[in-house]
Amino acid sequence: MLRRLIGEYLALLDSAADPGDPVIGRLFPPASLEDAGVAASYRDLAQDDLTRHKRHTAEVALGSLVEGGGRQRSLDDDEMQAWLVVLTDLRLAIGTKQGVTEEVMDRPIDPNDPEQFPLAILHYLGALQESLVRSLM
Amino acid sequence: MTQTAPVEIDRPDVGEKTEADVPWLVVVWNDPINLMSYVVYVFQKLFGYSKAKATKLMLDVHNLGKAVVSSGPREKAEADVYRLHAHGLWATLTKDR
Repeated sequence: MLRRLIGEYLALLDSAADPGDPVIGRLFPPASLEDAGVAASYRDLAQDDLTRHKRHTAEVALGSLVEGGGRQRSLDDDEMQAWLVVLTDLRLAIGTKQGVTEEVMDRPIDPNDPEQFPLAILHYLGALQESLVRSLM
Repeated sequence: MTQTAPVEIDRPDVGEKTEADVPWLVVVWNDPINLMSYVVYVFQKLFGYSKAKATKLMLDVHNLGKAVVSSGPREKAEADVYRLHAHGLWATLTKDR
């Protein structure tokens, strides 16, 4: 599942970045809310680099997944850092698409409701990320 | 040696700061998705803050909606915004007025 999610994420990065897409808007937020000039100059400076950086990070994470659920191996520092960031971006993508609010995040999920499946994934990825953060702190 | 007429020198107004000198602030905004523990970790990682300071900043973001996490000249502020974006946080830069 992680492989598929990362695949979708990479496809999103590859597709012509549509600034109207709320997910793209959250992954590449404006650098200024009050000054369009500042936001534009930052975007010119940073957008390509950030896209490349995110793609590279996702590929590092993907590369660390073991084929066919075989023998587990532990992650090195770079891979752990990559996963930390990838898990964040995946959660942001899902959460933004679902339009979640703080209140939605606090609500318990009905595991039998298929409509809540994306939320369930969000929480699952959150648990993964939490344990990763704990191990790094 | 001949005496030349005094020349008027155009003194720069030293009271005026140039654009590059105005400090810029880096603000992190709350979002409902990012884990609190992750945000604390990022503040420690990127800025070298103690866990206590990073936690306080995270709580400010969470409770007040935003917090200033760093400041400096524009280039530094832009670099900080970039690093925060690279970690999935929403940051903006603004002039310290």
